[in-house]
Amino acid sequence: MAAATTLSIRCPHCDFRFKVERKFAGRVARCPQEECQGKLRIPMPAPESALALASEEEVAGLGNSEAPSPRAVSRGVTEERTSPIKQRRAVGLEQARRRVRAETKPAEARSAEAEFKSDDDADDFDLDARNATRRRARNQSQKDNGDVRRSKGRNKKEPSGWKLPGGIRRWQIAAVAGGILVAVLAIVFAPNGAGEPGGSEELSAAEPAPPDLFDTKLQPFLKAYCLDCHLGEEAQAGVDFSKWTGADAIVKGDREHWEKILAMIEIGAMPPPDADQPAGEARQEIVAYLEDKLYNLDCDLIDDPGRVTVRRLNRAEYNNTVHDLLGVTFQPAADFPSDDVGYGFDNMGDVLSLSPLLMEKYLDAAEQITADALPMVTPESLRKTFDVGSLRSNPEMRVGGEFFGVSSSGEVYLEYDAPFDGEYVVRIRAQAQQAGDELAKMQLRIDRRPVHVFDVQGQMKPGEYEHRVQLKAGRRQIAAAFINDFYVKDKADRNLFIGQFEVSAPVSPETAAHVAEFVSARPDKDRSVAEASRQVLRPFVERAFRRPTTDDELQPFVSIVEAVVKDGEPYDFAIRLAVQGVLVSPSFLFRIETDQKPDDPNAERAVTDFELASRLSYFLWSSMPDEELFKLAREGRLHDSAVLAAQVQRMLKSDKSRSIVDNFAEQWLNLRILDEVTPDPDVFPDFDKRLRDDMKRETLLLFGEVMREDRSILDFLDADFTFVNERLARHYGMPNVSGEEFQKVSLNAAQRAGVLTHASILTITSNPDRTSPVKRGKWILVNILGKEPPPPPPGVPELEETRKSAPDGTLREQLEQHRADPGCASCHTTMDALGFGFENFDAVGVWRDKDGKHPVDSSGELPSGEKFSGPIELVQILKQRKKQFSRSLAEKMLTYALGRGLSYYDRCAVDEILNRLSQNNYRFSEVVQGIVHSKPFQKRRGDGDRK
Amino acid sequence: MTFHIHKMTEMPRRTMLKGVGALMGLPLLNAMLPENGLAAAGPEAAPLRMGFVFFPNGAIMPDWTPASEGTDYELSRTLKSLEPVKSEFNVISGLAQEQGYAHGDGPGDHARSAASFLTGAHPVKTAGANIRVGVSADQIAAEAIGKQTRLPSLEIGLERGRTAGNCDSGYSCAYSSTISWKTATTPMAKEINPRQVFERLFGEKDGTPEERAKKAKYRRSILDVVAGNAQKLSGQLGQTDKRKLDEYFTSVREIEQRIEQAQKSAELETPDFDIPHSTPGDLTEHMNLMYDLMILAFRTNSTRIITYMLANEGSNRSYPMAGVKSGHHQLSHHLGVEDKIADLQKIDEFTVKQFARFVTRMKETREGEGSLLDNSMIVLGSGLGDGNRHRHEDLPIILAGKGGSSIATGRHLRVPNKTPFNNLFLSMLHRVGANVAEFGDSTGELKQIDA
Repeated sequence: MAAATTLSIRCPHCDFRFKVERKFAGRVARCPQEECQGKLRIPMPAPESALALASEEEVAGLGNSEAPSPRAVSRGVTEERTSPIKQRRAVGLEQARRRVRAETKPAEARSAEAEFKSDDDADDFDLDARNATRRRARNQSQKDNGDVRRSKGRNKKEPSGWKLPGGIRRWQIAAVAGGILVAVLAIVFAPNGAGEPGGSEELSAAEPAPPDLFDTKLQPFLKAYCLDCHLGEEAQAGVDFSKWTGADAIVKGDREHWEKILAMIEIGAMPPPDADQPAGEARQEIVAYLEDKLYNLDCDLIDDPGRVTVRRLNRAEYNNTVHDLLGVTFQPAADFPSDDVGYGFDNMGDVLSLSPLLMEKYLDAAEQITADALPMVTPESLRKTFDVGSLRSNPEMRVGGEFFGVSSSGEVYLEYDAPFDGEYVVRIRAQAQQAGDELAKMQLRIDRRPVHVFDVQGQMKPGEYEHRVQLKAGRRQIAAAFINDFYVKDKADRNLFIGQFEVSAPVSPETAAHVAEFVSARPDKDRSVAEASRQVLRPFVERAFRRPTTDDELQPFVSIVEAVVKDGEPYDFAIRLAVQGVLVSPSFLFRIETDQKPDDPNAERAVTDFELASRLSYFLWSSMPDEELFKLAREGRLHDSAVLAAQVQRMLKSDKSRSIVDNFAEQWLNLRILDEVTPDPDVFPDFDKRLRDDMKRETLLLFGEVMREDRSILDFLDADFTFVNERLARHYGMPNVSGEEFQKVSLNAAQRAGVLTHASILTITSNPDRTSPVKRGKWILVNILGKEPPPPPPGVPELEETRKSAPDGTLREQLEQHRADPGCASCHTTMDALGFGFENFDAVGVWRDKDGKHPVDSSGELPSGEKFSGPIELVQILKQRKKQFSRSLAEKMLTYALGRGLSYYDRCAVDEILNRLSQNNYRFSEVVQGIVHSKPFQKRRGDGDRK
Repeated sequence: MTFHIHKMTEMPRRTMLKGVGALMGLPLLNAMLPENGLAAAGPEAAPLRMGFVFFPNGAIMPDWTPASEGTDYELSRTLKSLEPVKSEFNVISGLAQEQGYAHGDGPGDHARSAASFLTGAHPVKTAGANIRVGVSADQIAAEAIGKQTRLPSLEIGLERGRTAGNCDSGYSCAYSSTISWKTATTPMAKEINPRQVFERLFGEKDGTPEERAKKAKYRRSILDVVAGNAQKLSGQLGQTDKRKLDEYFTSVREIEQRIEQAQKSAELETPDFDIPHSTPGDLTEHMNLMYDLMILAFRTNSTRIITYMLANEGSNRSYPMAGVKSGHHQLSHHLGVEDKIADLQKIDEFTVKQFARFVTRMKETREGEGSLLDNSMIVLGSGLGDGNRHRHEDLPIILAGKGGSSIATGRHLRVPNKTPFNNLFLSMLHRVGANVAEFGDSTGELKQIDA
């Protein structure tokens, strides 16, 4: 069959059918349909030979062989390939072989449209051209894949690939990677149907990879423009191109470097202005190649859930977990050392370390926790007050008002029925008439034995004097005695006045009941210490370890109880020691998921239901699973998609989900930096700690509202309401808000909308004494649009230097002059324009029309050509960048949920989340659902790098 | 002392201290310390102490470095406040910590400054995975002599590790907020709350000695059990996970040793030292309190090795008490602007002034025939010289104390440019009996300091 000269294409965006010349295969183009204009990639057509290559026998043979004979492959290829593909095939052979091998593994469903790299981000900034080649989302494809029939199930039955229904040939996705030459081309489109029927080929055959351009395109480019400075030992900025010898370095090996290299080349920061510059086209070509290598992933082939390192509970998680586990009422982790931050969050397994200092804190905390949650008491403890009327005295004394007046020696006492052995608090009201050279002394006596002496302070000043005493159960006499009488007739007289007594056991009846419930079994004649303690400890250990435990695991803790009881200590005490042991166990302190083959990166498995429960609860609650999650895990139902989805909704509605706000949102939006900012008090006298806390609160409340009401995440960007209290309202110049409580208010639509106009964000992106459009612009790039600009090239003059040359200009004029330097312009054009849009807000977020003597100019134009005047218009433009914003949020939240930095293969999971979001009105819960249902969240694999 | 605390309940000592600390200034250490243990012993019994005090963002070196050298030199403007103890320390100029430089890793000099400062190693550039630098000099010393004291080493600081955002150009925050590394992968968390430091040093003294002994015994049995748990788990873990469990293991073992050590040695009387319940809001007070605790720890021989981070590297704290309102890091990139340089110099001067107070107190603390300072080696320094240009050479370094008569003090030593800072560490390590052959890029001991 002769090779067709045109290809029939169906646009994945609008279903428009058209034809293109074959030579454009592999390139990215825009859909010719006027209303659509969507970006798409022209698929590689498949020659006859591809069928042979991918046929069941061939593929199986290749796939099963550890080292397939190149000869066998090339024979298969040579025999059948057709000329236009010949060259390509030869070079791309190794890749083709790899790919085919990969296909023999049961893979998830592939779809015909995988070829089309539809670009949902056509609205990107120019800076964001890399998204142009983004992989089309998978769900969409299922809807569209009309003429190609494939399914997951079938795939599994036919590991070689798939059977083709008669007459329909398939084309293969086959990581088009590598074949892209130019990002956007002017393509001459043949109108649909105009081509000869026989001359046109339906795109449905397998296509091997085209040759990689690393050697043929990239290397010559580098040689011409880069190697002068970036070679060998002395390479500038340590970027030594000689260490990268093939495309694999870009895709996997040194991705991070290459992402930066791409950014530098793309925005024109490199080569530096004083060096030879590549022609625009050459630059574009390289940019397109790198983008393709870096971002155009075939998610069917790159199928990697990643590996999560065991995660130590961080401080927030520790506090929440001990609270949920034992009902602890204080925050034991308050004194723990800070958890180090990685990838922007403080819950990263790799970063969380455990120093001896922290271990010591864990031990102390375990003691405090048992003392707080499981005090050594029995029930029915109550506080009792005994007023003077119910007290007795010895010798008999008279009562004046609230007090017995004790003028010489004597005591006031009561009989108290202590309900149980334990530590009681006795509080006595007293005052003294002072005289002589010491304070009046009041002795506390229990059953006539002195236990403590108080110095009674002040001159006839009533005070409360409190002491803790151990009391045995039964009737006890508690007395207060005056023991240092002093009297010089007509000159000095020391007297003590003793008032009401209060006696309380240090725990509430509720706690006592809780303790009784916890210590559910005691040894008796029918039950050994071991049996009783096992009964008490098993449910506790299972909750603490967040999974079922074996007898073997339980035994050491039971042994503690046995040993301590044998030592002659009470059983209750022994149980508490065992509890402390559990609380400092690695299985409690770390979230551990164990594997059969822990060091085999290819050993992949679904997480167990219990592991899933923990992943869920620590993601959404920063705490351990609750009983409902445990129950579902025990029943093995949690991994069921519908059950899981319902649980996510339930968990998001729970109060505990505020942890996402406090831990995720606060870190995502860098709000913790607020704690460090110090606006110049001379310029901003009203800024104080309370206002700072209010600022943070406002933003967190907005996040909480979006989460709880399941609003669109885009509301972050342009919500027309916010939350303020009186102080913050005054700061904003809003009338009619009073009190400390925050309330929901409408915003002045001419001035504010969404989080970018919150004082919190505006303050953390300012300098102490002035605004910083650059910082604001950068913040938006990084946090809203997910673009980390490369660091400034060395030797860039800062604003202050420029200021010297234009001392009287506005900040804008100064910055513009600054940007005259082409080395800066590349990044700053975008960054500064974004930042200037918010110049109507001063360095603490107050609206202003003038900056000093100059009127504020908050207009601007983005490199994309969009113009705006003022923050509101800019916010609206930013809101159009839905995809970028969603991606940024989804990536950050996935990082937080997984507790590890994202790797290139995670892009596939993120793409699916985005797809889900865009189909569901960007509702907040879809991000969460998307994450929870994603492969990296539900699966794990052994440690190490996959080959 | 009488305090008018109205609600006069019997409070645990530390609660009492809270009230006291709030009301009173700090007492003189000598007055408060029990004359026990080493303080009373002869000079031959006095062990050598080592301390490392780190400050971030470099210094204004023209104002730091004295103009002349040798013994007869004049203190520079920034070092002026050290005048009263001029005979007790050396200014060392010309040292470099080469591993602070990028060596191919691009930006991130602040993270590298702190990470390499005491380790002499080059940190792996990572935001999270594979954090790795090297064992720090203090921890090598702790490994060698740490068992002789209740705490092998003490790590203190004034700033919590940063918990927001990126710390420095793709480096995990662990690098910029830690100078002490127990292993190449385990940063030693620092304690910033003075009260917690105190309790760590002297423990809580609730209950009778018998009760405390009982508590120690049960704590050990708990540790036994959990160590077993860790060991069992380890077999089912991947290599990275194992490393994390190793940290756990090591920590457990260290605490076990400490308990053992405490049981062997005579019970230490708790010094009567007033200490606020919470971290002081005033930076000067906080800084000096920590210095005082260093003295207390050394003096009572609770530990011989202390690292003290005056701030995290890249810290942007302002120093209003020194008349500086802008952030330190922001200022440090002064680009030659006079006002900024002046502000930075004020911060340096403030830092040195508090250090001078500390050195003076060390000097005033008697030990045997001499002073505590005589038996110490205290380094004050930064991992950056010129902070503006991120130079990891010409570092501002002061070495105080005579190292048990092994160091000749009172000099400004100018060593050949880019002499490895690690040579100094090597000298110090050898003096405390940690016989390592080399440290980082060391080329041998820094002989210039020798007596």
